[in-house]
Formats: sequence, C-alpha cells, structure tokens
Amino acid sequence: MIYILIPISILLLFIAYWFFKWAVKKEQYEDLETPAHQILFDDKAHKKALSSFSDE
Amino acid sequence: MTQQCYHCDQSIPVNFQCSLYIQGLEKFFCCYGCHAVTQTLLDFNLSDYYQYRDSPNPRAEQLPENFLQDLARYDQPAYQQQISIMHPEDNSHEILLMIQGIHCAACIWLIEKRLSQITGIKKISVNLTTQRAMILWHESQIKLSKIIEIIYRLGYQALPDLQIEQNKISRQEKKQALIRVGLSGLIMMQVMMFSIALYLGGWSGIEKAHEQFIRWCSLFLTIPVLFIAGRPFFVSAARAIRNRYLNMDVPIVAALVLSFIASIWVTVHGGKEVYYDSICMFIFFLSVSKYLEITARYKLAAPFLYQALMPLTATICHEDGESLISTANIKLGDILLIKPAEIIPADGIIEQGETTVSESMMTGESFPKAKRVGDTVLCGTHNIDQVFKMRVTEIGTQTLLAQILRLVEKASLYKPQIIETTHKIAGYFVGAVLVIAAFTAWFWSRVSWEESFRNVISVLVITCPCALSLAVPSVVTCATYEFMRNGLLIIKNHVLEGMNQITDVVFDKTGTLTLGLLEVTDYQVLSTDPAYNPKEIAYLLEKHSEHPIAHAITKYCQSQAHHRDVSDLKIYINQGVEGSIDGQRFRIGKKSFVKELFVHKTNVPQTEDLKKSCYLGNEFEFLACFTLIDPLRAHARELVDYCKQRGIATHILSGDPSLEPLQIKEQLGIDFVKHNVTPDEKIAYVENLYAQSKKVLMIGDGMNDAPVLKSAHVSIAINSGTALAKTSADAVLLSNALKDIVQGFEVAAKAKQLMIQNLVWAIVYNIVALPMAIVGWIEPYQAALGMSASSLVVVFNSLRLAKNTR
Repeated sequence: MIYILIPISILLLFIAYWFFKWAVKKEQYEDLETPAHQILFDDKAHKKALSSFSDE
Repeated sequence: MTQQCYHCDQSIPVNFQCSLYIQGLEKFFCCYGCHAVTQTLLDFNLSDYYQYRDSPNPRAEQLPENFLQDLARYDQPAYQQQISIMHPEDNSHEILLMIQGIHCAACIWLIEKRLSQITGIKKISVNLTTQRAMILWHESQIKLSKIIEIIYRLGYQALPDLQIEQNKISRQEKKQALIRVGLSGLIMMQVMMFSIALYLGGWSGIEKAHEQFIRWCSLFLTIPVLFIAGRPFFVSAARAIRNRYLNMDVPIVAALVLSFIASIWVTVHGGKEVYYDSICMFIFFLSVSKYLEITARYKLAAPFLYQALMPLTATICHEDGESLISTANIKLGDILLIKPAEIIPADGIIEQGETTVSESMMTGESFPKAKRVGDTVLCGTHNIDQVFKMRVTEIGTQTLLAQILRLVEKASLYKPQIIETTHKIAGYFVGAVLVIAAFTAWFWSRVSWEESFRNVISVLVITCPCALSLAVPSVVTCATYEFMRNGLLIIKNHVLEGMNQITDVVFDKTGTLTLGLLEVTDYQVLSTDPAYNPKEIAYLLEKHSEHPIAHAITKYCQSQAHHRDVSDLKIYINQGVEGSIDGQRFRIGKKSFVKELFVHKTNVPQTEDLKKSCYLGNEFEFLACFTLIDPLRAHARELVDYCKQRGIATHILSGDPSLEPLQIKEQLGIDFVKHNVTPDEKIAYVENLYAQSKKVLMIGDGMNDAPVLKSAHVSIAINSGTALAKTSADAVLLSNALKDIVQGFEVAAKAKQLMIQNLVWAIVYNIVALPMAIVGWIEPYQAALGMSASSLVVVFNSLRLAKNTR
C-alpha cells in the first residue's frame, strides 16, 4: 500500500511545484496589494467590457 | 470657511468658482486642472474611482499649451528604440512607464480600466509597489504619445523607464528566488511528513523495508532542494573559499554537506538517524530570508531616476530646416535649437537669440543667468525664457556634467568601509566554529562515527548562522523600516551605525535648507487708483513665462486670474515683461525697467533693492511691489538646534555667490558657512574635515552635491532634489521634512542599544550552547530548535525598536 501512496504523493508534489513555477513566471506574485483591494470594486462596466481585454 | 477641492482636498481659493455635478451633488474644485481630471473621469464612466480611493490626489496640473507637441517626440522611432522593446511576431511594442501620482489601489484600477477601454492596447498592467506600468500596444492603432496624454488627463504623470533592461534582470532574480522558496517549501513539507513516520516508527516500531523505502524517498526529494534551492549558498561559500576568506555561508554549506553525506551513509548502510528533514527545513528558511532581501532591494531601487539627466532628443538645424535627432548623435559644431523649458543637451556657445538659463543644479544658485550671443551654456542646465540656437563645443564625456559625474565615481573611493569590518569579524567567528567542529569530530570519532557526525552537525547548526549573524541585521531591518515610516529611505546599511558617530553636519543651501523656489512674501499696493487690480494684471503678464519669478507671481495671484486679452507681450531678458491690456501698457519686473515706461520721467534717485523685488507699473506710476524670497524649509531651525544639543558642529556649503547663505547662517545659528563654492571646493572642504578625523553627515539635493554625498560618512538627499543626488546618497528624505532627520538620529541611537542587547544575548547563548553540543548533550533537532528559538528572541527584541520610538 505504502509503495503506491508515497509515489503518488511525490507525483502530486511535482505537479504542485510545476504550477507554482508557472504562476511565478506569469508574474502573479509581482503585486500582492492591489488584488486585495480590487474585490471591493464594483464592476458593472467590467462585464460589458470583458471582451476587450484578457487579464484581470 | 474655505471649502476643500473634491479632487485634491486642498483649500479652494476665495472667489474661485468651479464645480461639477457628480451623482446629483454639486462638487467644487480648487483649479481648472482638478476640474479637468474629474470631468475626464465622468466622461469615461470612471467616477467610481472617488469611492474606491483611500486618500486625496495630488493637485492636478493644467496641461501646458504646447504639451501635445512636446509629446510628439515620444513617437520618434529613434526615441522609441531607446525606451521600448519591439516584438516582431505580432508587431507590438512593450514599454515600462514610471507613473507619478499613484497613491492607492484605486489609482491602479483607474489607469488599467481607462487604458483597457482603448483599442490598440494589448496589455496593461500597473504595479502598486513599484509604481510602474507595463504596456503592450500596437503602434499602428494607437500612438505612445496618445497613451501618455490619456494618462496625464487622468491626473498622473507618466515617464518612460530608461532602465528597462536592468529592471528585467532584477525581476528575473526576484522570480528565481521565489521559485526556490516554493521548491524548498513544498519538498520540506513532504519530507517532514515522512520523517514523522520515521520518528513514530523509531518510538513504536516500524518494518525495516518501510523504513528503508521512506528513507530513500526522502533522499531522492532532498536532492533538488540541495542543488536547486541551495545553489546560491554553495556558490557564495565556494567564492569565499576560493578567495581565501570566510563568510557565514561556509558553515551553512559545511553543515548541509555533512548532514547529507551522513544521511546517505545511514540510508545505504543502516543506522539510527537521517537528517533529510532538517536539511530541507534549513534551506527553506534560508531561501525565505534571501527572497525577502532581494525583494527589499528591488523595492528600494524602483522609485528613482524620475528625471533623465540628459534629454534623449534634440532639435538640430541644417540648411533645409530643423529635425529631431537622438542626443547620442550630436557632433561637435552642430547647431541646435533649444526651446523654453528644455534641458540643454551639450556644452556650447549661443549663436542666435537671448535667454535666461537656470544653472541651479550645477552651482546651487537659485536665480537664472542671462545669456546672450557669445555666452557659454552648459550641458544639463535648464533653458527658461526664449528659444535660441547654439553651436556645440563639447559633447558626452567632455562636458562639465560628465566631469561632475566622474568626480562622483572617484569620490566613492573614500567611502568608509564599515561593512568590511563586519565581514572580517564574521570571518574569524566562522573560522573558530569550523575549528571547534573539527575538534568535536576528532574527539567523538574515538567513540563512533555516528556519534561524531551527530555532534559535529549539532555544533555547526547550533551556532550558525542565526544568533550572531541575526543580531545586527534584524535590528538593521527594523530600523530601516522605522526610518521609512519616518520618511527616510535608507539605501546603504551603514547609515544606521554611521548616524551614531556623526560629529559634523554639512548642509547645502538651495533646495536643502531652502525650498529652492521663489515665493512671494510681501505685497504692497503702491497706487491708490482703484481702476486697476494689480494682482490680475501681474498674473496676465507673467502667465506665459517660464521664469521662477513668473511662477511665484502667478501662484500668488492665482485667485485673481481672469481671462483678458493681452497684446504686444514682450519678454525682456533679465528685466521683466511688458504687455498691453485694454489699450494700456504695463510692465512688471525690475524697478528700473518698470520706471522706463513712465511717460513723465521723474528723477527719483536710484535705490538698490536688498531683497528680490518685482514691481508692477503702467505708464504713469508704480502699481504694486512683490517681494520674493527662497523660503527656508520648515523645521530647519529644529534640526540645527538638535545638532547643537548633541554637540554636532554645523556647516553650510553653497554654490550660491550671493549673500543669502550668510544670512541663513545667522538666522539659524549655524557654526560655519562657505558660499560660492564649486563642486571641487566642496570636496576639498569636506576632505579637510576627514583629515581632522571628523565624521560627516552631508545633506544635499543638487548635482553639485553628488560627489560629496558619495564620499561623506553618511549622506542624505532631499527627495525633491536631482536624480543624481538621490542615487549618490546613502539615504533619501522622502518626506522632504528636516525634522525627520532628527527622528533619524533618535532611531539610530535606539538601534545601537538594541544591537548591543542582541549581541550580548547571542554571545551568552553561544557560550552556553556550544559546550553542550561538543559534549554530546544535544541532538541535531534540538540544535535546530535551539538555534531557531535563539533567533526568534533576537528578532523580537529588534521589533521593540518600532514600539519604543512611537
């Protein structure tokens, strides 16, 4: 049993690491302050303008 | 009761009427600039900004009239090559813009939102911490000049970040550091889970095969941690050993390597303990602190260099007209056309035209100099009044500007090396630890290799790196943060220790002790004729001039600003301005200049004005007199008094040839003053102090201060000063408030106390713990715990700095 579970957990670990590396490369950790404030902003126009830009 | 402006929260001048209806309520503004910004926000449906922001905006500047033409230079291919990166695959350009005026997350929202509404913008991302915007756009659909104009209309000033390449590298560094943290953190957690199984097994029994399997998995996982996340420490230790000195990374690496070898041995040959969990945890904590260090460095470097020292483009004249060229291509003998408010891009001689030039950043003189045909103009100085043509006589490295920069480089040789001593002491300490570890190894090897390994690791871990190496840095970090809260941004670490040893403070005058501006302090109405409103007339005449006097007067008379037609407006260099309003001629400027307009020449004796006065008159009489001074910075007195209290001698070194520095010396009670000094003379003066073993704190803001700022024991640059001063200094006074320097001294004193406390604790801890480890009473995990607890004690003690100085 242990010979199956431990390799699986190691595999999951590397997947987690790969995603983390991707997030850092995509600069998601650059600005940690703004997103915290952004949840308070009401975005009525945002939904209309959603088509004109891809990241938020 | 004065109302506050809706946009910038500053008081609205009496009689100024300007308002907008926002969501049904009437809101008022202090100037047309603020009004324009709010109007823009309303037009684009972005007025929610006012509900999201958490602090008022800075006062919006009205766009100067030829602003749009000035922006056109951003579209020049030569310029774009220098400031942006081209992506050929989809024909887009990428640029990093520094944005001034950002103060909260709502500003980010505003800029990103407004720009994403525009077609042609592929990507817009604004970072609150570094105050930079990364923009990807298609030049064919929208021009860079338009983008910058739009940002201006929102109330922010955008400037290209000239260090786009260097920034990319620092960003890479930061990302790599974070990836290392993630890697070591994730693996650390996994390996620790395994080790729980091993510990529990060691206590209540575990199958041999399972134990082996878990140990091998731990080994396999530790390898990436050691060689990827641990790489920086190996590199640093290798460099140290190669260069024959010891740094704190050497025992770390020694401990890591020993533990790893010992654990591999045990895994292969069987034995009691493996240390994979300790290795991973150790590397994780070290990676975190490395990441924090890199982030702090990155943040500190970000806000500087707002103004380029040199303009990137210039207008060159040839037979068939004028064209824009890159300043890198200017050659000797070229004829350049310099417009008002431009920076002169090379040393040269005026061929055509007359103007006034501000050389304040070179000499410290706040008053612009008149220049006519045949006069020399210097690279890096500001053209104020008129357009003129110049012939280039020196470029690049031969200009006076370049010479000052070279002085700055040379001066850094005199920098006191407080860091070096710390390194040397650390080296000895590490050497001692390694010797003790070796001794322990030998001593215990007579019992068993296992015991030997175990104790050597304990010895190495229990003393390194923490208590001793954290004792000082943690106080430094807390102090740096405390300084920042008080408006002082520390760039070099030795500021903290240096402040405690200061015996002399040297002030620059213009821009440091004074605001570096001209302000109207006195206004006298000289005519009893009620038909004229002198302030209104003064405003209309001076509105179009770039001269500092004009700025001071327009600011003072702002409240009387009404639009009237002014005809025949003429600027007389170094004398004043003349213009006609409603058929009447008026002049504003020097007393003698205004008097010349009088129809009836009277024989009033020539009286010299002691202060800088500006008279307004018409064809018959003087109407008013404005008195201008360069006001002292607030708290200047406080700072000088504090220095006296501490027995610190005070000096003024100023390039201003006038008597103002001497007046200020008397006013503030400063000990020594020297005026009319060149940058060379400034350095000579300060070096004289060094020769007397004095420790100097230099406070300055101009380019002529840069060499001294570099060589002084501690130097502080005023935030509103030149970019060169800020990059040459050890600290920047962000708040521009001199009282924060007093606070700085206090923080430094407190920090010294705490450092001593920490060092005492660290020494006591080591004296107690080290023998215990040698004798064999400490298991490696206990060593790790002890080390962590000790460092926590040190860190918490350092945090006391913040609470005490509140």
